[in-house]
Amino acid sequence: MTGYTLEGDQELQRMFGKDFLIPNYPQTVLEKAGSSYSRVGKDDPYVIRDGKLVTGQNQQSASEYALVLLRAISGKSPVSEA
Amino acid sequence: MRFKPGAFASVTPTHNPRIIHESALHHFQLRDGVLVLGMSPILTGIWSNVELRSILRAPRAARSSTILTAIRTSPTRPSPRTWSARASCPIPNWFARLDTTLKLSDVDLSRYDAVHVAGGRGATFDLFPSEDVARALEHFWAEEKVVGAICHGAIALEISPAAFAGAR
Repeated sequence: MTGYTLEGDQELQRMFGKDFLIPNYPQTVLEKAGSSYSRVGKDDPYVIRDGKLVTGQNQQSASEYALVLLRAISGKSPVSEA
Repeated sequence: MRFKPGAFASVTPTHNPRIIHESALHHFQLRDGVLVLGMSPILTGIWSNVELRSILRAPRAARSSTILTAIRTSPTRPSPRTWSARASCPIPNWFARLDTTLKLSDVDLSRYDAVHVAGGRGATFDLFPSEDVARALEHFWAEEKVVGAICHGAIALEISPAAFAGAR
């Protein structure tokens, strides 16, 4: 599965200062839980579907994530009427 | 270096997604509901521009089938860092719906085919740890329904490590 990267969170905190609180980092939490976390470049789109589970890495992945999620729900491609 | 027409699209074809959304999802009909799990807006709000609204572009979902929920009953607000002009919002009654989010613990989970966990920094405050979120996600997983999470929303998947640990 994937989710927002630790690298991205740490960059946000450097950018916005110490008041930009992120109490838990998704990548760290998921890795500690023993999940099979993977990622690509910090700002690159990345979507993983594993059966009924769909995850997207970041906001850049939102469009593809929506397409994959809708297909997982309906069983049909949202980009085709067929 | 001069920009070469087409080069951007060929390297990252997914960076032209808005066209796909408008033309394809406009005609897409969800069979049933999708439970959309946002979070309380205490400091951060939802990352609404793309992560929440992307799934809501399906017209039927935007009208009635999809229910916005929050951990608390206070109105959900989009992050000021991500929000765009109201005039650009394609979803009917979007702001009114943000004002009337349901409390997650009051939702009948059996009514929904899937759950979508939106991202935004607020997820790291509200969605983990949370017994209500754990109960909801374990319901969808146990019933073999679709579970989706994006960006910081993925933090919610930790609450059921036994279920999700082996998942890619």
